[in-house]
Amino acid sequence: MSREFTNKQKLFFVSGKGGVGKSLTSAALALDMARSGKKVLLVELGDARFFSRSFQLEDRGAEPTPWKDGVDVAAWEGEACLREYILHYVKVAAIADLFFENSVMKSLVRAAPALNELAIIGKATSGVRNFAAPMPYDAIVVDSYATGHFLALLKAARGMYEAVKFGPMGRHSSDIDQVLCDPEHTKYVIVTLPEELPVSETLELQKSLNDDFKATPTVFVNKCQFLGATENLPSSAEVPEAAKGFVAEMDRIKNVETEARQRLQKEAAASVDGPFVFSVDPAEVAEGLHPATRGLWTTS
Amino acid sequence: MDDIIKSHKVIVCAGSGGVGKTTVAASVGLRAAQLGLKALVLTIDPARRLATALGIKAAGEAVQVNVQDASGQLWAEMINPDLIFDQFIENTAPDKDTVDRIKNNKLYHQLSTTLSGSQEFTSLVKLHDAVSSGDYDLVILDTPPAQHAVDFLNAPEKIYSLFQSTVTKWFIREKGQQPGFFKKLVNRGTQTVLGVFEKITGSEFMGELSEFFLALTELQDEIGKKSISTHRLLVDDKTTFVLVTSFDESKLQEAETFHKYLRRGGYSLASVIINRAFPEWFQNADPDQLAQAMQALPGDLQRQGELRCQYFDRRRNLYKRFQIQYSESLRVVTLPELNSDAFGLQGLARIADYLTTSED
Repeated sequence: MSREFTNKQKLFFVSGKGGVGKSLTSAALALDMARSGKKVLLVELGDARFFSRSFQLEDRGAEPTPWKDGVDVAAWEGEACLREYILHYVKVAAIADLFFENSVMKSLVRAAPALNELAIIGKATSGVRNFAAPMPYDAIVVDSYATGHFLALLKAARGMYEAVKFGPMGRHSSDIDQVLCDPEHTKYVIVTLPEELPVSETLELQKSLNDDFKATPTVFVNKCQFLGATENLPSSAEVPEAAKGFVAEMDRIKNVETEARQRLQKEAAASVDGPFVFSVDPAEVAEGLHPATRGLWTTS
Repeated sequence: MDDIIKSHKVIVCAGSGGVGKTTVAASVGLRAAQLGLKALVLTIDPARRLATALGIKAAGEAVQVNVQDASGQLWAEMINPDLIFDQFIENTAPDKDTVDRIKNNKLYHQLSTTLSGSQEFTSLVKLHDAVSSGDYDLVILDTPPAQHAVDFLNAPEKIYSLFQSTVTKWFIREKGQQPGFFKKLVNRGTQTVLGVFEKITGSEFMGELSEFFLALTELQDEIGKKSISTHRLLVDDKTTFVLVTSFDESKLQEAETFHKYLRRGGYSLASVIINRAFPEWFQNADPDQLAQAMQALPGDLQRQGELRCQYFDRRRNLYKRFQIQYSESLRVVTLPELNSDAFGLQGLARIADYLTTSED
């Protein structure tokens, strides 16, 4: 059943617990590859338009929009991806329009389980599968959903394939699933903070990706504050009263961070540390993070 | 926050993933117990340490939390969406045959776990049951993890449109017809479209889908009633929303969008809670004293301190802009990043203190 895909396009899925900095890590990764001469598409899922808003770009939805040299951004929504897929089949835009304007179909598309997820994951893998219009990029970085929803997205193809083995739907689903399980084509990045809860969730996600997709994700530890040599913090007696809270907090962070990173070193297959970039400007944060993301793609 | 707690029967904690919603929901529950109420916190996916602190072991059963110095009671329950969806179907289906037909459908499992809206729907079913049981003075719902806060509000309508009769009726067939054979009922445009759909997905998929909808026709009245009664509960004047958000520009924008959405939908928004806005050492300090004290620290630490002060100052400016813009229409509370274990009951109690004292 397995097919050979010769397209060399690389697909990166970036996930992790909510609030750990997935989007800016994705942006930094895309930027870093572009600075090495690759052509990269940075994709966000859904309608939040995080990239176009954060980087002050024109919002053109799924249409790639240039951000930096070598990096285009795009926002993919389930329904738009599905429309593209259907248009590819029916060829005639008028019929595709009819399809989506039809109220019966509208409700059906909303109702049919996992159809939107399938369309998104289908589009992401379409380059590798040589399906539909080629996307001229060396790599596609998908700033994906948080852990639970992300797994649902990845499993949509397999679930569909298990339910429906025959027909175009079954065949595509099987191909998509094959690409997701192929480390030659698909890389997984889990972003975490050096704290107990995100690390636990990271290791759970690593296990799921391992078990279900034979994948070995790389963990990106975002917002590390104690990289490199750090001197010992002064004892409380040497600290002026007004700075005691600050020093105590730094001490706490240091302990939590050390423990989290030690745990990752032991239990994560591969991990890369990233610095805390003290900026409130998203583009500055991506710029500050990009050198640290090199380990996410150069080993591959 | 005390007024909000005392004057409502339902508080819905909404917000996008990773902002600390569950912790805030539990703290509100704790505060309610301190005020002498019998409160229930319903949560769908608590972090393990929080679950441990609350004493939750398994889903589907309310447990009383062992709280000190409270005249009321705090209860907590974890929702298992798969279980509730199954239960809901068992309770509403007219006979065992229908239950089996639904559960044996190949698409059912995907639907109950991956369809966006199913977790929200089951949370609402659970909320409705808890409120109508009359066992509690206040029920606090921690909404399921979602990308956006508004997803929660859209969910019931999504589920409703899935189950409404117009969708299912295309699949109703006469005896002897093959599944998926709905050509008689629909007009020509729809026929074309459904034909394309069948061509793309394949007849096996269409067969499963139509089987699924056919089995569901038995339930649609009950689901319709449930959707209406949960919606009524959400717009009730004894129900209010609290939006929990983290502190960055895109999240603050989301807060504004959510607020508009709520107002348009006739829901009430009691408060926006910006969680982990600033560390305690920064939030509670006098800026001049802090800057002076930093000077006395050894070199590297001093640099680190100054870097963080600049950073949090810039964040404070962002926050002020947000506050000026929205303070008239929104009640905003900030919670600090606690420099201690926020998951034990003591941590929850400290957050509850901040909730009641740090109102702007």
